[in-house]
Amino acid sequence: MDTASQPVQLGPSTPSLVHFSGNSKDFFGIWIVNLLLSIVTLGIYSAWATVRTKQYFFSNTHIDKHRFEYLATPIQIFKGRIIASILLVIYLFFTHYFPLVGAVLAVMITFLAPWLINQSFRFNMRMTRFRNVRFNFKGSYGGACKVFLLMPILCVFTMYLLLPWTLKKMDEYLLTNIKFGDKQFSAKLSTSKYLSALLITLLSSFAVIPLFIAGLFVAGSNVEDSPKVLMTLIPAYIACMYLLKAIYQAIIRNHVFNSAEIKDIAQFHSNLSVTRFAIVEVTNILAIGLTLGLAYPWAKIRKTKVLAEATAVTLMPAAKDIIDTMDSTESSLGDEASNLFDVDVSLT
Amino acid sequence: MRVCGQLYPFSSSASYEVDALLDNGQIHISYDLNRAVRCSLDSLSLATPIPGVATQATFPSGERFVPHSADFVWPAHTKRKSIAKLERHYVMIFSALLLTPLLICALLFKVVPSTAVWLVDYVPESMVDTMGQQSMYLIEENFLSPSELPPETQNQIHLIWDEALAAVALSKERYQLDIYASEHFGANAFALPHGQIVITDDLIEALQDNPNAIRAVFLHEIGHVEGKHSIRLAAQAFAGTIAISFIFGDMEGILELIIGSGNLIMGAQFSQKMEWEADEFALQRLARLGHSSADFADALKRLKTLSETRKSTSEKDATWLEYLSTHPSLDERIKHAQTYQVN
Ligand SMILES: [Zn+2]
Repeated sequence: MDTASQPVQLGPSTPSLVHFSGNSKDFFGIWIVNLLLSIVTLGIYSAWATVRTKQYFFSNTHIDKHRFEYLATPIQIFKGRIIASILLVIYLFFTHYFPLVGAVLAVMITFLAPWLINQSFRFNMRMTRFRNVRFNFKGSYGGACKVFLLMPILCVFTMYLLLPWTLKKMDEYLLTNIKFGDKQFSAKLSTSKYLSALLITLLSSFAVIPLFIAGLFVAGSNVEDSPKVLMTLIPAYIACMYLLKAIYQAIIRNHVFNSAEIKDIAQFHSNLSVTRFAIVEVTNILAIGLTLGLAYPWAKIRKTKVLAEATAVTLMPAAKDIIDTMDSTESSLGDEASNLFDVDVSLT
Repeated sequence: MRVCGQLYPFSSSASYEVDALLDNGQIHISYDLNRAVRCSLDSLSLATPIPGVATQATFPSGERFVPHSADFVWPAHTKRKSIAKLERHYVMIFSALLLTPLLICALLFKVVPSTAVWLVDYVPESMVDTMGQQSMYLIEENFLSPSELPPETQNQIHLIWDEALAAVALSKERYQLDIYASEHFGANAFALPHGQIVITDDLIEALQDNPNAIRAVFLHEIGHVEGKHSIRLAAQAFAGTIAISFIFGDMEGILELIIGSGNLIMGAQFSQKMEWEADEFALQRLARLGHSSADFADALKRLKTLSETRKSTSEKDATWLEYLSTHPSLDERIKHAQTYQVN
């Protein structure tokens, strides 16, 4: 009782690096044991597995000695998953047995998608806590409809000329509706950055595709039926896709982080190297494929480390006065339903 | 015992670097110059331990304490069994490594198919009809055009059909034959679950001089309907998708891809099995009707030469692809038909 402790001082405007302390050995154990338990329990345990995995990654991500926390309980995830499974059964039932009704359902799901995206994003934000303060998401159905439904349709009708603007609006919608406690995120994203990211990705694809085709000719002359070609074609194709995706994601991530802030509370920085990230993503996917999935824990830890190392946050003194104003009852239905129907939205 | 860590007071973003004193079953933390919190270790609520993650303790009054070290174990956790211990246990990890792939295979190749077989018995007749009609509508719109064969040939085919139906004592109400031209299907015949059987112009032309072979093809297709094969296939895809998304719901894309392709291989194998079943049906009926099983072998041989001239590519190293395709072991099936004996 001798050491009267001091409040943690926040130096004004010194960026602190994001640190990830997870390691492949621990995560491999968690992953494989949870996978086994999920199968043995016919999927029931997978809700617990999800929570443990998220907690592992959140808790090992620190800024200034403070760790992130994942707050969802397995029961929340489990309930959401049950409801989502029932919806999936209904959907599959109709698409398999009554294709015409299935087509109508597909249209209905299109209109449900914005709601699912909101719901999922909101749940995940609310279940994230940092320094005793939880995140939140305030997006509305109308807002989500506009960016995830109307704009993409408009995009198609303008021969994808509006694509950079649409992508920008999507990220902007997601980002500026996030709250940390009672403080709103803001971001000044620029359409031209999105345009240049798309152009760079496109140019890279011009460089990658001839390589890909050349590889095909080396692998075998017969393009249609030879299994050898198929064996090299599919991995090469997947590797190309990951490469291009990584290039785009790295550029956009840097832009989004560097333009985002919580006024008077925090600024975000990202200097992710495009080449490094692309190499990591491609080698990760190849390693996972070659080991039939066993390299997954290693790959995931590696990627998280690279992302964390490239990220910094400047916390301002006012950060310690934020009040958390939330109750903890929250269903994860939106989250799970959108997972099962594969409406995946991520702010990488 | 002294444990250093971070203290978060209730509902505020302030935090304090503190030393927790654990003594006599009590925990005591003083912070912020003159504030302190104390309770018995038993009344702390501890988070579920995870390997490599420091276990947080929450006081009854709402303060949270997070030790700096991930290796610190709370006294209450030292003896209790936990998932975290399993996740660190080498024997457990090793056996999980062996068991997981085995179980995934068993699930995809045994549990899902047998669930599908079981499901089929519960599919009502009316649903089978709707399913068949809707599929036929989509197929007809996209891949079929009216037959270009002369009416007399068509009549001949229908005559063979009526005879075959009468011979196996199946009602003309349940079964129906249609002849279509189709570029997409080439020389082919297929059965829809509600008893509609489609044969293409190309196949009729290929087998025109051999009505017995055409009858054998019809019997094979009827075998598919009687065995409820397409419903089984749909039930299979259905059960597979649900099992995979429920069990591996939160996996990332690539694993789903690997497991999904397992599901695909299984699906193809499943329909291979169905071909055998339909063959068996046809051969049995042919034998019962006093026809030679060579009729069916003839039809298969003709199909084989057709498919060979169609894609004159080398099939020598197609060994593993064989496993994937639906009508792969034509040779085997021909051999089986030639040596078929009623037992
Ligand atoms: Zn068949």
